[in-house]
Formats: sequence, C-alpha cells, structure tokens
Amino acid sequence: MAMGNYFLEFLILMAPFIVIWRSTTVNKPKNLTVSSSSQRDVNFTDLPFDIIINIINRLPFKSLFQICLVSRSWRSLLSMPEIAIHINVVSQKNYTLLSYNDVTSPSDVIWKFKIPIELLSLEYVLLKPVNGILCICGPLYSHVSYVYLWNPLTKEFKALPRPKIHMGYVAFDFGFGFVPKTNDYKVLRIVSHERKPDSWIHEIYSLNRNSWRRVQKSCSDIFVTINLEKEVIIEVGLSNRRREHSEEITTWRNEMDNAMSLTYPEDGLALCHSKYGQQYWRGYKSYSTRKFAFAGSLVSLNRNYDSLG
Amino acid sequence: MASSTTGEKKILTLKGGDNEEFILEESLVLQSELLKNMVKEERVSSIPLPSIKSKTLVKIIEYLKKHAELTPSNKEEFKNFEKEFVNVVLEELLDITVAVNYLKINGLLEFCCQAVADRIKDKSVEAVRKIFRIESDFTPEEESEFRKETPEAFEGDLDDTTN
Repeated sequence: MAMGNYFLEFLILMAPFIVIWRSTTVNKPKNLTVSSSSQRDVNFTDLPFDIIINIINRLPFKSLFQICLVSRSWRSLLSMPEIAIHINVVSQKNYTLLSYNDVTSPSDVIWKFKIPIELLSLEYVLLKPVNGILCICGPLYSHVSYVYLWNPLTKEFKALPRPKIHMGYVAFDFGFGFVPKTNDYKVLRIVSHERKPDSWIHEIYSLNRNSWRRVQKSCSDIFVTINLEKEVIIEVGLSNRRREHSEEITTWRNEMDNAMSLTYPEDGLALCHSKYGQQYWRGYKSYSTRKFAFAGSLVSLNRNYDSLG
Repeated sequence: MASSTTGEKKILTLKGGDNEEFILEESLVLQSELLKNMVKEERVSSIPLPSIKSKTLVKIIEYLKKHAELTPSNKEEFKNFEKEFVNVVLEELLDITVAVNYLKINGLLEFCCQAVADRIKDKSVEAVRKIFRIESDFTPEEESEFRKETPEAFEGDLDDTTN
C-alpha cells in the first residue's frame, strides 16, 4: 500500500515531465505527419512515376490533352523525361495541317497554331510532321541553319543546337524522322558546295543525343535513302521503289512531299478537318507541298541528357 | 497456447503508420507480393508498415478479405463491393493507390488506377480542377487563349462528382 502511494506521488510529480517527454518524442513525429497531410495528403502530381504512367495510359487522347490545360504542374508531368518516355500517345484522328494563308473557308479551321518564333527569311520550311511534332528548318541556301522542334499541343518548343558551318557549303535540304526502337527523333541536314556541284555533306541531329553528327561516307548524289537509326546512307540515287517501312529500320529519303515552304509573314498554321481542300500544286523552289496530314500527339521533346553517359 | 487454438492457420500482425496493430491470417496477405516475400523469406510474424495510415490499411484488409471470399457465385456482389470500395474522397483513393502500389497487390492496383483515370476521363478541364482541387496557375490571357484555341477541351462532363 505504502509502495503504491509512493508510486502515485512519483507519478504526480513526474506528470508534467512525462507529458513533456511524450510531446517531444511521441507527438513530434506525429505532428510532422499531420502537418504534411493536413494540406492535402497526396496529390496526383505527387504520385510515384509508375502509378502516374499507369493512370495516364488508361486515358483517351482528349483527356491527355486536357491534362496539359489543367495547370502548369500537370502539364509538366507529361514532359518529365521519366514519364514522357513511356507516353507516346498520338491521336487516331487525322487532321490537315496547312498554312493559314491557304485556308479558303475559315469555318473549317479547328485550331490555329501561331509559330512561336519570328521567321525573318522567306526560305524556311516546315517538314512533314512525325507523331504530331513539327520541325521548322532554314533558311535554305544559307551557311547558317536554324532548326526548331515544336509540339503545338504540349506547346514545347526547342531550338536545336546550331549545326557546324562548313566553309562554302549551304543548306540544301532537310529531313525529319523517328526511330521507334530508341524513341528518338532525328533531323537530317544536307548541305551542298556552292561551286562544286557534286559535293554534299549529310548531317543528322538526334534528340536523344542532342547533337549533330556527320554521316560517314557522304556521297556525291543528293538523292539518298538513310537509315536513321544507324545514321548511314543505305541507297544512293533517286529510286521509285518505295522501301518497306519496318519497325527495325526507319529510313528517310528525299521525296517531293517532305517539306512545305513557310510563307512570310507567316501568321500561323491551321488545323482543318481531315479532307480539307483539294490537293493542289504550286511550285515554289523545290517544294510544292502545301499541306500535311497531322495527328496531334503528347510526345514530349524532353530528354534526360544528364543521365546519358 | 494461444497459437494452438487457431489450428494450422498462421497469424500475422501488420502495424500501420500510427502504430495500430492488425491481426489477420497470414494467407490473406499473400495477395501482396511484398508481404508474401517477407513472410516466405524471413518468417516474420509482425510487419511494420509505417508509411501506410491505419485508415488506409483498414480499407486494404477489407478488400483482401472480400477478395479471399470471392467465388464464382458471389462475383456480382464482389463487383459491387469493388465499386463502393473506390467510391471514397480523392485523397483517400490516392492514399490507397500508393499503398497498394507499395504492397504490390497487382489486381487491386490496376483497379485503383482505373478509378483515378475515371475521375479524369470525359470530364472538362474545369471539372478535373474541381475534383483534384487544383487552382489554375495559368494567366487569364493564357486561359482565354486555351478556350479560344481548343474549346472542346473545356467541353465534357461538367459534373465534379466522383462517379
């Protein structure tokens, strides 16, 4: 009994200390979790990457496009390299992309894209879109080339590193392609010597590498077929035979409909319903294409360059 | 002696983030790849899961029990249970999804991810913002540009209820 009283007294005396001890050791970590969860436990953007990828892959194209408009942080999810590399969603729906100057009935325009840079020359070209990514290159017949990749849906716009200047050589042609195996986008630049008509240099930019590389064994013909994955010329000369388009070998070749010249002042590109307008030809330098088939995409141009060795 | 009364059934204790303990049959947790490996390799009888709130753990255990009772005859009932299971406030659904991902309960993870996706799907941009309690941080100019450029993104279910 006496022992019990002592113990009780001890407890009463110690009570404030016990409370303090409890509040420092037990409550503190609890408070921390409470304060971090009181605002909002987890938000969509805080989820682990694999869950976000799992969820995003269940959504139709339209929802993904909407994600880009919800907020900046939601939009940035789709361009994080860790997520972007797993998302390669292209709209099934095909539209017609053409210069706004060529629109004859404005009511057919669905979206209007304003080109995010001012093109100061007449001779810029828009290359055939790949997965909804647009490539703008130019000027033609200049020593200096500027190349831009642009995803009008995610509004990503990337100025590529400037290709090297080769004395006496000017830009003659450009090409754009995709290598599914490595999820890589490649831009080809063909330069020709101003005075030596048979002297060509082929250079390829890889988005994954983020640099230009000269194609070994450039040939004396402008008409080539190039293996974009290995970055080598596999066929020389203008051939009518169309190569089988297989998953393993993605090729690029000079074709008349590879590029559309951008007219200046360019007030934008228009996206119209798929069967918009009649195909018509208007010769402009070597380019005569005036419209492209376009399927929007949420493919991000972001690559994790730091992690590349 | 206590263990002998349960017969051959092994008992396991899961400890939630707030130190609450949950005692359940070991066979139930085998649906979780993470716990299965822990139980098989280390022969543990108590597993602390400090990153999972007890509230979330209660829900998950409820699911494991129902799933274990699943037979061809009560399939409909289970489907209704699943529907109700994810009919919770968004924060809770995300908590469950994260926990299920950690525990590696694959079937339930797919189901939870679909449930989150359904809260985005066919909803207008406004509705998604409401459901996920997000304030637009775009400038009013950008906002009006989006609406002009792509009015269809703002179309769709305006309703922000979870179902």
